[in-house]
Amino acid sequence: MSSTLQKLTAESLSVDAIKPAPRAEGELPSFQSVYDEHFHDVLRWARAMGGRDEDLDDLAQEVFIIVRRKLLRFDGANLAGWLYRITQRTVRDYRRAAWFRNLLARKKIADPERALLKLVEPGRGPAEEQELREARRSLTLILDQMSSKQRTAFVLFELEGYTGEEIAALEGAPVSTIFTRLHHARKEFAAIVKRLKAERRLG
Amino acid sequence: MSLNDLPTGGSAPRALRDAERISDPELAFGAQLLGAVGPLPRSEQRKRRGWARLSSSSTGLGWRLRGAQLALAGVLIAGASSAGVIQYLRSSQTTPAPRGSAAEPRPRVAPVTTPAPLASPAQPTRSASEPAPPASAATAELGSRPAARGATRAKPEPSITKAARSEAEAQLLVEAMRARRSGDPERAGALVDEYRLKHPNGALQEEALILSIESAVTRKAGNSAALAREYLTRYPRGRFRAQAQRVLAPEGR
Repeated sequence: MSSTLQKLTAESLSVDAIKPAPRAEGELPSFQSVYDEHFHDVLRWARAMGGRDEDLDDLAQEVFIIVRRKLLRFDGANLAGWLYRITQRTVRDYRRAAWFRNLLARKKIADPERALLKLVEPGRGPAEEQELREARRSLTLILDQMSSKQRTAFVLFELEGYTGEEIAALEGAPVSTIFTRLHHARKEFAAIVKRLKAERRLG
Repeated sequence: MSLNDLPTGGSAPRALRDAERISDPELAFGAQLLGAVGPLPRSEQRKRRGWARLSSSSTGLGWRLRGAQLALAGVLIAGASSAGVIQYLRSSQTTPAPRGSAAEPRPRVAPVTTPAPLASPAQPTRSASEPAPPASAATAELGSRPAARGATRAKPEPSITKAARSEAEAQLLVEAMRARRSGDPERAGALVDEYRLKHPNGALQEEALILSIESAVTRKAGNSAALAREYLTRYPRGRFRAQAQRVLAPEGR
């Protein structure tokens, strides 16, 4: 299935795709509507900003705890941009703390809940699962070495399918800046791949 | 598509995954990876689970606060390490200088404003040839100085003893973490246990307990669940509660 078709199918099946009733100008959204509309976006942003797949749920929870606390002070303009900035700060703090957490939890204790979910939701064979795991590992290895802004633009555009205009609106930057970031990100990406292949760290 | 075809500002580029042909091998490899990994799939189940967690959660502890706490612990450990190195270098001097000589390195203690009486019975005077005590001994001596002045209850100099205690505390955990890194969980566990015994009210008790749990899990010791329960009882909102819960999870299933 092509990625576009996959995306369309997912959207048509998801309640996320159901648009809520339009809000009056300046009216504050309810917390639940913010959560319903943007939970998936927050996960995607957090991943683009460098959150590990296994930490995305925790990061989203942190973001929405802050949202719940600050929603009354939100000015009502550009909700997505406001959430994006909260996610940015949350992921930044998470990455800062990550070195110490990794030090303490170097040997990861298996998460039985996730293991169980994997059993309940099969879908992929062992070979495909292994292939996907290897691709994720390689991609993470490359993305971890990219600079923060370029990685975010790169992942949102190349992986999550955002347009330059959408990223610009979230970042609060001109579209041309986003395209320039993307241009440099691709160059950086290619250079890292080349180096890692030379070091035999990529297949 | 090649690196030379990349857009600069203004023109809308096409995603690598959608490009029909990519001439640069590195970008082609990247496109292959991106295609394999794909966008994050939407999951209603994940969303509902998140909502349930959010509804049951009343904590406002964010990464920021946790980050600050962890950074503080890091600074403490780093400080303790450097203090340990200094102490080691000082104690490794083979010929100590006589006390009172011009070349004598002074022990690193805070200056005392009121000089103690030289002939105090509890503070015997030292001969000129007697070696100067190491910094830790000097600290301990200073801590007991008010008793030497005739006071009935010894009141330690808070700033000095507190700092020394923190250093000693952190040093034990630093050693434990070194042992853990070098693949010696037995020694790491022993050092953590020593820490927990010596400093029952220590500032790094939470970290020590989680290290203890980790060591027990690594050694497949039977007390890991008991330790995890202890952690959750003592720190119901602790920052390592998820790890402690994971240790207990197989029991409940």
